[in-house]
Amino acid sequence: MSDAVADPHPGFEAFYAEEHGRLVTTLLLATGDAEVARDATDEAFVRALQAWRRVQHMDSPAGWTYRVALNVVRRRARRAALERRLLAGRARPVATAVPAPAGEAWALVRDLPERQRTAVVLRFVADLTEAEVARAMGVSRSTVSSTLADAQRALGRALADDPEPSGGLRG
Amino acid sequence: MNEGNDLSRLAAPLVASPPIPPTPLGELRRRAVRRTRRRMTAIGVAALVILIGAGTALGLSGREAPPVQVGTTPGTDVPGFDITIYLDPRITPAELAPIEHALVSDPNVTGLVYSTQADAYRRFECLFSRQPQLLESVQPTDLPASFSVDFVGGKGELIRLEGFGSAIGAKGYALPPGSQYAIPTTSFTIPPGGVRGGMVYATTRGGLACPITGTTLR
Repeated sequence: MSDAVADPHPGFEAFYAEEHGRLVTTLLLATGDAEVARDATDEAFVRALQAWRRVQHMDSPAGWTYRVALNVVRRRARRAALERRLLAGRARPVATAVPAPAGEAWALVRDLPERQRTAVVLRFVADLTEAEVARAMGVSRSTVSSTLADAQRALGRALADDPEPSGGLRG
Repeated sequence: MNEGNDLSRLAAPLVASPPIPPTPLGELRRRAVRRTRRRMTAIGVAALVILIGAGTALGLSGREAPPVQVGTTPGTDVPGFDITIYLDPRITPAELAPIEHALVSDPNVTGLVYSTQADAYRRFECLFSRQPQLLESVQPTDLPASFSVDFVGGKGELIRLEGFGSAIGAKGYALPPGSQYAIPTTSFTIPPGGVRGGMVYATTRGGLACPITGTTLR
């Protein structure tokens, strides 16, 4: 008699091992907040695990997971904004630093507006196609194209000013 | 896009060895189970309440309560209504006793059944016998014990409702005073003292494949 227990979610472990690093890095660079990145990554994978029977047959399980994670990030941001309003400036938001060695990559994108930063990291760190980026962000593909073009110009200007992105957080 | 390539190059070692280590898979599995269970319990209890109830509680607004209307007890021409009082699971026997006493001794209560959590679960099993996944996710302790109460009469019951509302004590849910609840057979307004310790829903006793079971007290 075998002691082996059937995996109730076949394929998920490999998916998690394959995608975790990319997702958590993407969220870290999109938000600049290690705690948010970790929580949203975990939440997205928990939901993927719950719905694995359905998610594994999707065209892009990773794309679905990114979308879930971004929704978690947005929800947290809305809650944080509400808390700040309720506190009426009595408390400053606590931001967690981007941990090393991510500082160099963060320095490249941190000054971009949020939407551009998200689009850029989804396209070039998560390696999603423009169509997948559009689905993950809940916007049209043409919006993604124009957002990426804007980001490209902004990054180009930043790199022209500072061709050697610093290795840590500035300011 | 060179800038994108720069970012890809900078991020590549992070992706391979992220600065935030992965949560162990076992922990993710436990969270998924807890989350599924919470979700299914919420769905199950909500569905159970809806199925038990002949209608849904309405109008939790704080507007001034309209005049009280009382219909008839289902299946009779006697004015009255039925309610179920869902008890907070933390209620103690000492807190339960005066509620039971108030209901048993109330002359306007014409029927009274106390259903334990086990009784509630047996009914739940009956109601959801074709949904094994839901059954697996809900335990008897997830469902509330309750009193199913038949009231008869007019406005008097609402005064009585206020009376046993205060007997129920401070634990559990609170129904704001002035809230109006409506069911197909009647509607009633939560009295000035509010009803605390349970949620009130209309019930139907008959005509269901899975009747309310428990200890008949009246």
